[in-house]
Amino acid sequence: MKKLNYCLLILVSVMIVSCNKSSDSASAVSNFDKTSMLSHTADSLITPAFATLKTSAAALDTSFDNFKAAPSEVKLITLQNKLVEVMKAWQSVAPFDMDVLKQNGTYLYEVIGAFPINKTIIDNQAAGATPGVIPEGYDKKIQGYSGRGLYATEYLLFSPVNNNTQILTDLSNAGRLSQLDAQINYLKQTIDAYAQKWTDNKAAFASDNANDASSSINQLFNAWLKSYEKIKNAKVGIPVGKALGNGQIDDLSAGKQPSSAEAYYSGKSLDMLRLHWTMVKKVWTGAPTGWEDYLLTVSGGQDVITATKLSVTDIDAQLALIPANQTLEQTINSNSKLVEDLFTKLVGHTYLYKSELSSKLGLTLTYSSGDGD
Amino acid sequence: MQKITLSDRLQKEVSIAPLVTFRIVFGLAMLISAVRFLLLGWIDYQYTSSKFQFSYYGFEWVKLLPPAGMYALYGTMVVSSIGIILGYRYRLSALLFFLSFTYTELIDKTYYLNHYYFVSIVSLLMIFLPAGNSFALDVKRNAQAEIKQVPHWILLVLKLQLGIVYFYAGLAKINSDWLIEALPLRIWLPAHSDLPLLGWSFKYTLTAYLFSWFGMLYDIFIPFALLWKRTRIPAYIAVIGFHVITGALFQIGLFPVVMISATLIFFSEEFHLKLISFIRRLLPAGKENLQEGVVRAYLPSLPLKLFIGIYLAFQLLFPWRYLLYPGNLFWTEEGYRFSWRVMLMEKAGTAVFYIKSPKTGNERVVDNSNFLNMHQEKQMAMQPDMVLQFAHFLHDYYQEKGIDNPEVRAEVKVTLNGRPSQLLIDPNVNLAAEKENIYHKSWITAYQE
Repeated sequence: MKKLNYCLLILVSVMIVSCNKSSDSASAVSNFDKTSMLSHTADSLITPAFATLKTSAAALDTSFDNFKAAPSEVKLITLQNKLVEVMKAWQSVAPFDMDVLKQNGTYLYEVIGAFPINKTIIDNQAAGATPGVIPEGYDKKIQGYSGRGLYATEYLLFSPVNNNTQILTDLSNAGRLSQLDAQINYLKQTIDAYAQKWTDNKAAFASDNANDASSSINQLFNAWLKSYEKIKNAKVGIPVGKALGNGQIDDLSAGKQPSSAEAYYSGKSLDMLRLHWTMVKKVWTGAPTGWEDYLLTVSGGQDVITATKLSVTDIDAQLALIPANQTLEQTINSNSKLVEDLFTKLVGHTYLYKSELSSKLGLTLTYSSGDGD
Repeated sequence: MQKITLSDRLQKEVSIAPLVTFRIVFGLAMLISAVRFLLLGWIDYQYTSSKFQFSYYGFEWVKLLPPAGMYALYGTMVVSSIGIILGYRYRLSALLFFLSFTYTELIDKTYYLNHYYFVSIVSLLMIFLPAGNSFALDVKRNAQAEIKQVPHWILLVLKLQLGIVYFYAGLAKINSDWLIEALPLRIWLPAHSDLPLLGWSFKYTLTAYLFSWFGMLYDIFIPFALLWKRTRIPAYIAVIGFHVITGALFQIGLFPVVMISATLIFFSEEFHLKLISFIRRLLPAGKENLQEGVVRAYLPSLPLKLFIGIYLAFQLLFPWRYLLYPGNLFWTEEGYRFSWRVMLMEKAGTAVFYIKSPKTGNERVVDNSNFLNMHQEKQMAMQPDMVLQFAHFLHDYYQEKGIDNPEVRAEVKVTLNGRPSQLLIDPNVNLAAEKENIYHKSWITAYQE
C-alpha cells in the first residue's frame, strides 16, 4: 500500500511539474461563448444579408414588370442597376451558404450564384419552344456552366457588353423576354425560399453550442471557408489563368480567361470580388465577435491572429493596386501581374483559414460526421 | 506436488462460453455497424460518389466496385453478421464477413480507423476459432459439432489481442506532447465545453493534463486489471466510463461499443455461462445448459496453432516498424497506421498542387475539390503517402488529357498539435517522378520542434 501511495505521489508531482512547465497553460483556459458569436453573426451579418438580398430581388422583379410594360433604354438601365444590387447583396450572403440551408440537397450558390454561365444553353432556351422555362445546366463537376440564376440574368441584361441598343432589340423578341422574365421570377422565388429557411433555422443556429461536424459553428466555418476558396480560385485564379477549373479543368494550355469571372458581362467582377472579400473579413473580425475573438481564447491563437492580419493586409494592399476604374478583364489584359500576385497572396493565405484556424478551434473540415480515431 | 507448467496452463480445458458470448456480441456490434453505415448514406459519400481512391500499398488491386457491388458488400456484411450471431454456417459467415469488411476498408485509406483494423483482424481470427460450435444453429443442425470446452489458449488469444490494442495505445501516449504539454487534449477539450456534466471543466488546462495522464495509465494497465479477478469489476466499470466519455467527446462511431462488448471476454466462465443461460431462457428453444451433456473438447490442428503463432508475432512486432524510419513519426507518419495510435495528435494541412507542362512551361494550381471529397482532401493534406498518391493521380490524369509527362509539385503546410504550420514536403520536388515504396521518403522535410 505504501508503494502505491509513493507511486501516486510521484505521478501527481510529475503532472504538476508538467502543468507548470507548459508554456501557456494559463492562457489555454478558454472562456469563449460560441453561442454569443453565433447569435451575433446571425443578427448582425446573416439576417441583414438575407434581408437585403430578398428586398433587392423583389425590387428587381418590380423593375422588370415596369420594363416589360413599356421597354425603354432608361428602364433597361434601371433594371440593370437593380440586378447589380442583387449581385452585390449576394456577396454578403455567399459566406453563409451553409449545409443546413440547402434545399433539395442544393446550395444557394448552385442555383443563383454559379458562374461562368453557359451562353448556349440560355440562348437555346430563349429561342426554343419553351422560353419561359429555366434551363438546368449546372454542372457540379466543373463548378459552373450554369444556365440559371444571377449571372444568367446578367447575360440576358448586359450582353452584348456596352450595347444597350442591341440588348433592347434582343429583348424585343418575345422568347428572350420570356426567358428573362422566368430568370427574374426564379431568382425572386429561390431567394425568398432560402431566406425563409434561414429565418426558420436562425434560432437553432444561434443557440447551438456543440462542436461536432454538423454543429452551427462547424457549418459556419465550412461555408465561410468554401466561400473564400471561391474568391481565390473562381474569381481570381481562373480568370487570370493561374488556376484550373470552371469548365477548363482539363486544359492546361488554356490561358487567361477573364470572361469566366463572376459578373463579367456587367463589368462588375472587381466590385463583386471586393464586396465578397470584405464580407469574408467581417466574419473573421466578427460583428462584434468572430473567429478572431474565438482564437484569442485558445492556446497559440494570438500567433494565428498575427499571421492572419499580416496576410490580410498584404492581400488588401495588392487589391488596392488593381485600378478601380478598370474592369477585371482590362487589368488582366493590360497588367495581369497585378492579378497574378493577388492570386499568389490568396493561395498563401489559405492555410491560415483552412488548417491553422480549424486546428486551433477543433473545427472539422467537413459537414459529414464520419467516424474517426 | 506436480509443478504446473505454462504449457499446462495454456492447454487446460476451459468452458467455451466466453468465446460464444464474444461471437454473439461481436456479431451484434458488426450488424449495428453495417446497418448504421447504410442508413447514414456513407456508401454514397465515401465510395460510390468518389472520383479517386487512395489505395493501400500492395493492395492497389482492391478497386471500388460499382454502386450495386458496394451495396452488395454491405448486404453481405449484414447477412454474415447475423450468421455470426446465430452461429449459422458460422465459419462461412465469419469468412464472408471478414472478406466483405476488409475489402471495403482496403478501398480507400482515407477512411482508415484503428477500430476498423481491429474488426478486420478479429474477424480473421474468428474464422479459425470454434465459436460456432456451441449455442449455435449449427449445433442444432448437427449435434455432433457441439463443443463444450476449448484449450485455455483459445480464449487467451482474444484477450492478448485486446491487451495489445490497449497496451500499445498506452505506450504510444508516452511522449512529451501527450504527457508534458497535454496535447492535443488541451486543444480538443475546450471545444467540447457543451458536454453535459463534465463540460464545465474542459476550459481548465488541468483537466487536459488529468485526461492525458489518466488515458495513458488506463490504456497501459487496463488489460492487466481486467485479467486479475480482484480488480476486474472496477476495471470493467473504468472501461465503460472511459469509452462512454471518449464516445461523447469524439466522433469515433462504434469504437466504444466494440471495446465495451469485446472486453467481456475477460470475465470468468461462470459469468458467461450465466449470461448464456439468461439469453437461452429468453429464447423459445430448449433450456439446455452448456455445462450439461457430454463434454466434448476441441482439438486444434497444427496449422491452426501455426497460424495463431504467426498472427500474434505480427501483432506484437508490426507496430514497432516505425523505428526503422528516421524523423518524427507524427510528422512523417511512416509506420503510423496499424499501430494502435488512437486519437493521438491534432494535425491539419493545406495542400496546393501545381501542374506544369514541361513542354510549354505552363503551370497551374489544381482545385483539389474537383477530384476529392472534403474528407479525402483533409486526410491527404497531412499524410505524405497520400500526397504522393494524389500527385501520381494528377500526373496520369493530365497525361491522359494530352500533356506530355506533366510535372506535379505541392506546397503542403501542416500544423501539428497546434504549432505554427511548416512545409511538410519539399515544394520543389516533382512528385510525379517519385515512386511509392516502403522506404523512407526523402522529400519529406524534417520537422522543426
